[in-house]
Amino acid sequence: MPAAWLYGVAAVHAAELTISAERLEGPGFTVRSARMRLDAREPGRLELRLQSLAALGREWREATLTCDLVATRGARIGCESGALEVGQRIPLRAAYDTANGEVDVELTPPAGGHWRLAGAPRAAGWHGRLTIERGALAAVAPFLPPTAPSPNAGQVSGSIAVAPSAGGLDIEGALAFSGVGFSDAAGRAAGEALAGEVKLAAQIRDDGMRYRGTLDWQEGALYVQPLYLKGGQKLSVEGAVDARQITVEAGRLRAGGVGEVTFSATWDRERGALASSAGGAAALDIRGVYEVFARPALAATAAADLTTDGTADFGWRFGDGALQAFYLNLHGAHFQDRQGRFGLSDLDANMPWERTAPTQARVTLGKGQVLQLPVGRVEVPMELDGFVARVAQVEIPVLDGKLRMNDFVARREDDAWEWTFAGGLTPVSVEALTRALGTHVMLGTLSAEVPKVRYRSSTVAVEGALLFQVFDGTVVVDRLSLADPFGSVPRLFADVDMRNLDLDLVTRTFAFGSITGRIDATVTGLELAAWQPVAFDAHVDSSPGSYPKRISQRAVENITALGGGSAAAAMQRTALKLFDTFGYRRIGWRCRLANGVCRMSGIAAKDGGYVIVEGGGIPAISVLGYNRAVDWQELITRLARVTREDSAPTIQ
Amino acid sequence: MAPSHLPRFLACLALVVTVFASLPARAQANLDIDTPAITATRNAMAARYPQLEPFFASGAVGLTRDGMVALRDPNAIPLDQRATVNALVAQENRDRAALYREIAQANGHPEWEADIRSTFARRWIDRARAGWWVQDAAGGWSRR
Repeated sequence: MPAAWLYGVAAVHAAELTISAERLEGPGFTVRSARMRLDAREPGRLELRLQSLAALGREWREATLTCDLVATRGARIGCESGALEVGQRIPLRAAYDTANGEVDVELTPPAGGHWRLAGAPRAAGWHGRLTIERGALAAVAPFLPPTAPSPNAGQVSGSIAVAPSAGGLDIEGALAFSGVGFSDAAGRAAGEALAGEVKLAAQIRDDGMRYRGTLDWQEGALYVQPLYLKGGQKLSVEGAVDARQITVEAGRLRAGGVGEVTFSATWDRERGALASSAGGAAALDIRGVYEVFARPALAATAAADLTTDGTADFGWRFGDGALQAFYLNLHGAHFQDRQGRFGLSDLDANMPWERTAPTQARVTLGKGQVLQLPVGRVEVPMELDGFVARVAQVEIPVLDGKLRMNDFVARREDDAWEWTFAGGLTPVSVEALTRALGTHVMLGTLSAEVPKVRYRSSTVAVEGALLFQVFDGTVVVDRLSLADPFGSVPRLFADVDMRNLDLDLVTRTFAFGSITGRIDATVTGLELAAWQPVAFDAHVDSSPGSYPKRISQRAVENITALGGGSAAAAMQRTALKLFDTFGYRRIGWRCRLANGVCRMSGIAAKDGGYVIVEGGGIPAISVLGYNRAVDWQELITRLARVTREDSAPTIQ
Repeated sequence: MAPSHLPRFLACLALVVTVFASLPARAQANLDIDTPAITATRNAMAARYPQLEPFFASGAVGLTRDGMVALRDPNAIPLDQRATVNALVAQENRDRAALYREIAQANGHPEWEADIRSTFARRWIDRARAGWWVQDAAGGWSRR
């Protein structure tokens, strides 16, 4: 268009001149059916009509430029009260000096602000300056490619100057922006009330461009999925652009309250991909990193509400289309869930990683806490080799015992992590454990040997049997697996075999009334969904062997209640009132749970019911159950009722 | 009966039997059935609801025709909450898919999952509050 404009002006001696073109093409624009009419009589009039103008990925129909020409002081031609119409009407003033070639164009878009472009040819080339005073960015929106985020508020002031220099052109400018808002249609990138300053200097030569720029972003907020960032960041870059690549030789990002990251990068323009990059940061404030960068993205996770502290260093090297090296160091890091679910204190880490060579890493945890369980100092020496991490041995102090992990191997395959380890637990006081977890306080010790634990496709499975010692007996858990441990519905599967449990310890723990003796219990096909039993087949039976077998009045009442009430025979009811404890020969009970119903039976059938406690000794008592199918929830409610400490036994 | 009518008769019979075999079965599907997995999923959804509710009300999130929720107008969400809403929507949809699957399984008919999902989709949309956005059968959005 400038060429057509100049040509029109050059023909000013003719009284009226009309130039038309069916199609005009230039770098980045296409014009269809252009028609320029110039009436050079005083007062003159210029009219330029374009049937369509395609540029910047958009198309404008019926674009027109009109202005009344005034020739003053001989050589100077003014275009007063002109207008550019491209969807909107933009008032325009322009002047051209035919003697020295100076051009001065002023635009005042209805959206607000004042844009002025002034320039002149010199011996060395064109000088020009674009000056913007409180230019409304909304005015620019119609001229941006439709796919680009569109500005919807804010203004910009400043100037950009262009000047010739040896073999090319120098550009220098500074723009201050305030109240800037923008958004893309999909809502993935948006900004609000952005304020700050951009400075740019560039030297354009035939073979490319060198540039240096700073962005001082002072206020406002930015969302670039999934990151939410607030102002207070300063970015400076310096590098070069040529036909093949865009290079950042020295990049520096200063984030307020976080620290400084330096980086370099090369973008391959032909492949449209990052060719190489390197960078790093030292002594970043972990609290700042968490609050500024991580927290908004973690909002709906367990890590959404942490107090944090400590410093971190990290660095990276990218090349040949992949990350080649990375390191992360933590110094005195601290992560504590505000809801108290977990905490890590005095965490130090030194984790170098290289794509093609094995490295040694080390993580040290001063102390930690999971749920209510305190965890002591843990040292984890780690070998990293590509996407495989190995830990030979770790000991984690838990209460008065130690959790041991051997031969831990984690590997990433098909974009998913899987890991295995063997291990064990040296005896932990069950009393201390249950107190810490805030459940029924139980007596005994807990120890375990874990042959192999495997995590794969969000399921943790134990290969081999787990052995616990509790209630003076043994508990063997076999075929244990836990699916979707962090989902809404974790599912646990296991078979449990308990031998020789001391019933006295068990019943005292649960305030059930007292039973002296020992039991074996097997639970096969146990399935928990969201930690609630949904299926199992459980047998409870007196252990073989000789030992005292006594049952208290209250325990009899409670078993009777569980078995469906009115269980004891009339004679036994009389006996119940007379004695505190009774002898028994055998206890046997079975519950098969499926579809929310527990199907119960006992040692043998008798009098239309089944025997749960078979009497023996003096005084003896038998307990019979009559309900063969009980709703599981109802059974749990009954069990909760009878094990409440304050519930007094009632004798009918 | 002429032999030529036999195949048609058998086809009709098969159709009638299929319809009658499937109808009572569908009628019996218990959508309010309770298992620990269903309860846990419902509880997770109920706990999430107060966080999602303002975004249903503002029209940022809407109810889809396939029984899920969708980010309808992300630009209606304050910038500092967009990541959160994205995560909430993903979690809600994971739970909804699990709910339909679990209810079908609890009814002893895993193959009913698609029917249960579409029944729930209608239920959610019927019970949507005034001002909420819901999707019609053609996929278009409208305001209740």
